[in-house]
Amino acid sequence: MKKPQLVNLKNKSFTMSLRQQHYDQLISLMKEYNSKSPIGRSVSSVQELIRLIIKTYLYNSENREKVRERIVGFFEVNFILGECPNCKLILDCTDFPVLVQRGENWKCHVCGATGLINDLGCLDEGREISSVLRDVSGATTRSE
Amino acid sequence: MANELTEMISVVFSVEQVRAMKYEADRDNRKLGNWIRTTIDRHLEALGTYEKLRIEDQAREEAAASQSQE
Repeated sequence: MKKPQLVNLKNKSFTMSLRQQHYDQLISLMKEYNSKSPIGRSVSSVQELIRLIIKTYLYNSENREKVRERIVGFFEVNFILGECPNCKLILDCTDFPVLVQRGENWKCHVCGATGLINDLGCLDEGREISSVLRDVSGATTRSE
Repeated sequence: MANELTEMISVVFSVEQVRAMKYEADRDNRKLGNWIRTTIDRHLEALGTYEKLRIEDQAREEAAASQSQE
């Protein structure tokens, strides 16, 4: 007898064609991020990397509130909501921010880049990372 | 060849993401696949990937030219 399988009907698979140049670049980016990521394999496939890129671009229009709510629920981890200056990604595969606070520094758990939190605002062009950071830390304090 | 659409790929998105992508694609007057490709293109451009490739190509051409001179 066949075992019943759990099928997530909420997700939709979208098949598309891709330029070879894009595909090759995405593969090399994936390998680069995986070799430097502090959590091992941060991006498991090209599909995953495409999802992360799309999430980053949709973040500004859709996911902002949802991400804030999620961060408030996870207040033990000091996430920094903003774009990583190195990989330009904002969210990971489970919709958490890619930047994590480590003392005075930030670390990207996708590409492994690090830097000073104070420098984030100046590195970013017009996205107001520091103001988002203030909002998030305010929300964290409230939840505590 | 590098610019031809030769690779087929299936990506799983949530319903909300598909809705948001369709909205953005409509705004850009593109089909969904085309919008995703453009977004990847913009991302690679922002990362400086194309600039890096251009510099690599230039270095390769220069090396080949100097070799042929020798």
